[in-house]
Amino acid sequence: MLCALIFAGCKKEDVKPVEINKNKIAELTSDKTTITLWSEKAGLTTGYNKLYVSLKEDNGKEISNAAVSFMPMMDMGTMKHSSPLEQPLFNSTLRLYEGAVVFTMPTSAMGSWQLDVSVNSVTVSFPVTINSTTQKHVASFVGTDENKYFISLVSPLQWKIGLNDLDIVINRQASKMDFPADDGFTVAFFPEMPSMEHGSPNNVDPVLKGNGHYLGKVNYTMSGDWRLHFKLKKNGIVIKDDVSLDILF
Amino acid sequence: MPGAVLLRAQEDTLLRSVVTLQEVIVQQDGRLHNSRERKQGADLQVPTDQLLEKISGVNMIRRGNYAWEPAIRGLNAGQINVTISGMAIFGACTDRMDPASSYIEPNNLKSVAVSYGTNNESYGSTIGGGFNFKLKQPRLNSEKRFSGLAGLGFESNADALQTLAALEYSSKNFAVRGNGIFRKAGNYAAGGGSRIDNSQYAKWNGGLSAVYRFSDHHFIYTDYIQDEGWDIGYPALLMDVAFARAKIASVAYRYQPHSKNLHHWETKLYFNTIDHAMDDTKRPKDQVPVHMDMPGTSRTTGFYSEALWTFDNAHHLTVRLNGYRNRLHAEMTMYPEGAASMFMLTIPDAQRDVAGLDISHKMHIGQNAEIVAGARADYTGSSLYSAEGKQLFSGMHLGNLGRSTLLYNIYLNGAYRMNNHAQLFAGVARAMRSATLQEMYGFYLFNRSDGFDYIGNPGLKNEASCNLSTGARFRKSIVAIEGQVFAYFFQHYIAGMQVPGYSAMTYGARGVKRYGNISSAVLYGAEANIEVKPLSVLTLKSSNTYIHGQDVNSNALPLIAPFKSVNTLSVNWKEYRFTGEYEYAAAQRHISSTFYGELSSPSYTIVNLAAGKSIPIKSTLLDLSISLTNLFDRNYYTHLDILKIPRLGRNLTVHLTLQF
Repeated sequence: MLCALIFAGCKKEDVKPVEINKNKIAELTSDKTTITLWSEKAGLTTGYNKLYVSLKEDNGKEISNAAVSFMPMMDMGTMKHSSPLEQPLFNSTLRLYEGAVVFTMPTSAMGSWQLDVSVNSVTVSFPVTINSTTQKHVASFVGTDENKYFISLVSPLQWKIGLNDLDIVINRQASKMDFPADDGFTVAFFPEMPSMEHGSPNNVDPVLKGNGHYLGKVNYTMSGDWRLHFKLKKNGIVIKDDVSLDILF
Repeated sequence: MPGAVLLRAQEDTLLRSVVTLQEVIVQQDGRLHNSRERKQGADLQVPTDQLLEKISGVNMIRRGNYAWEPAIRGLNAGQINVTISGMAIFGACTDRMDPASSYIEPNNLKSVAVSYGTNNESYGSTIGGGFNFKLKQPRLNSEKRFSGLAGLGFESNADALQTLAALEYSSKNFAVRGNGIFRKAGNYAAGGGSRIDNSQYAKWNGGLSAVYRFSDHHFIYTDYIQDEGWDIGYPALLMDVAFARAKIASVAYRYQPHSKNLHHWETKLYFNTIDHAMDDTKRPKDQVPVHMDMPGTSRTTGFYSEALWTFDNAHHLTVRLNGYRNRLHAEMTMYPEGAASMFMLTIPDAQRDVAGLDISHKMHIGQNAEIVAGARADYTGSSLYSAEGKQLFSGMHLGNLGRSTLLYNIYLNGAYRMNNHAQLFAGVARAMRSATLQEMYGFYLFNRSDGFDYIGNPGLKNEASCNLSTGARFRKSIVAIEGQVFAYFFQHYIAGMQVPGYSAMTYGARGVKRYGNISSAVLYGAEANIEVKPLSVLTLKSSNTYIHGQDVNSNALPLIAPFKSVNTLSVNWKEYRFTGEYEYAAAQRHISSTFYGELSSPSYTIVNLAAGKSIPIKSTLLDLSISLTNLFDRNYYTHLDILKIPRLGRNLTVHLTLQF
């Protein structure tokens, strides 16, 4: 009897708008639609950034069926280039369009970033400031196949001492505006503490998950500076013998 | 090392009932007026380490001039059990800098019970026996309302100084005893004069014990000991110690009915806490590639309840229930120059829960035979108690990190008196121990002996052994001879095994080892003691020990002392006593450098001299002890001295003690 009452009490379903637990980067209104850009991290930095977009009509109603796309652009005066990205898709749990951009350099006197967000073929431009990280979370290299690639640590980077999931994404630079994810690699890796010159055991080489993501495990035996060394092969041929990313926690 | 003086402390009775047990009296009751007995153990200024080292079959693992680690017949650390009046206590240091015995002073003690295997004196499952340090309780209803002692000592080598005092108050229903000691030493000089840097130490230890009789047969006992060491050098290790602090407290209730079968029933609750911090700031810069902090703590809470019944004056039944929880936390923070600091847990918040039941039956069969049979069962649970600890160890061990096991020990010891001169004795036991928390969860613990970083293994099997021992004792007119042989047949012997491909964390380490089980190992040996008393004032004694150990792969077991012979000549004339001691240890060449990382050790001989006089002054007794150890200033070390750091050179020790 009591149980029934409790269950009855729990059944009440308030259809409250989901609270957005992200960091707001900027907000623009275009054609009666408010477009808000959110980030997983408090600010945007070089490397892999999870980005979210929320859309609202002027009556406050959420739009969940729009076609949303990103186009990041670095303007260096004499030339422009884009960067690797993951186009946003609506996440019905978060009630947000979820995507990602790998910013390959920080905002500086050399140039500035803007992020174009297209909603159903209407495009707004967010000027964004990309801070540099003290650690190298993204690295570029030219492989033995003459292609230029980017390798990035996928955030959030909530490292703990012990065994951690490791997620990296590899993109090939097809052109200055096109960086397709590359699923063709076999990845071997080992972590190292540069200030200690030791590694750690029981790491798991990342294997392809799809969309250029490779998932593995990294064992941090202590906190501090770590360098992750990757060796990349394609069809048995070494494309890059050693490219490294740095972390600190 | 005024061993000659200390040997007096060892009682030698012909009919020792239990082959695996020896009790070394440290302090007699104050009520004893017999001056010879009062003298025994009067020298409380000798450090606990040296007191233990003088016990037959005991060798000390030495990492400096302080806090030596005891080994009994080649067994040490988790293979032996160390308790203080039945209380479990575990050092906090990951590098074994603070064995439990380092937090106890002779001034706290009545006696040390040494077990050479499993018997009815142990408060836990054990393979190699152990030490139970019995605290000195104040005595109710003593003839003297106030009694006590005060002493001062000095050593020429290391400019060591100690001062101690104890005071006891006794009334019909209440008695209290306080004691304290302060010790300080500088760097010592080895034989030949070379100074051993970072061998200094300083400490104080205080104890307070009280007993209250609230009715005829009911007593309450409380004990508190605080021991604080600081600025302690460990020349054999990479770091020293900033501080090592222990607080040991207990309260016990004892029911002691007379004229009943129940002799006594005692229940004790206890708690102890140890805080330990390593320190590298006093080392020369070139010895410290990276400055680091390495603190550790050990907390133990426990209880025991034991009762002894006597039936028909021939059967003694002891039942003991005990349990404790020990928690170890140790961490390391490194501060590399020009880089971020690094942090890790070296013991990732490990917990041990133990509950045990011990039943033993001692019976006299006729006039000439005695048997002690007993069994002990222990539940042992091991786990990591913090989320950080579990997360850290997840990178080392897949699967369940917690373990619980059931241990059992069974033993049968017997003695038979053939006639008034000869006695035979024998013992057999099946013993087990759980891996220690360090062996299960240690995280890159550096072992200076073999130069490897050690990683724990939660999947370790219990180490087990079959223990056999037998011997004979003979005494006729001026000669007493005692000989004993013993053997331990191990199963699942726990040892470190190299893990290829793992990189060491400690600078200069040779690699990484993980604890594992070796299917079998054997340890056997013999002890022979001879005493000749040709004149009433003259005693000649010879104590000889030999151990041999190897595992199934024919690798010599580590930390096994070679043949050792200690020979003394003592003269007790009126109030004077003189002792000359000749100690010889053979070379140890039975070593495994490939598997256990040991190097051989050469033989040595040293000569020690001691003299003393007790002067009764009214109702007080003034005792003066002078000893000259390592008379010929030999540069020597024992096989168990880590990194082969030489021991003290010639050392003149003067101890002055006033008992009242």
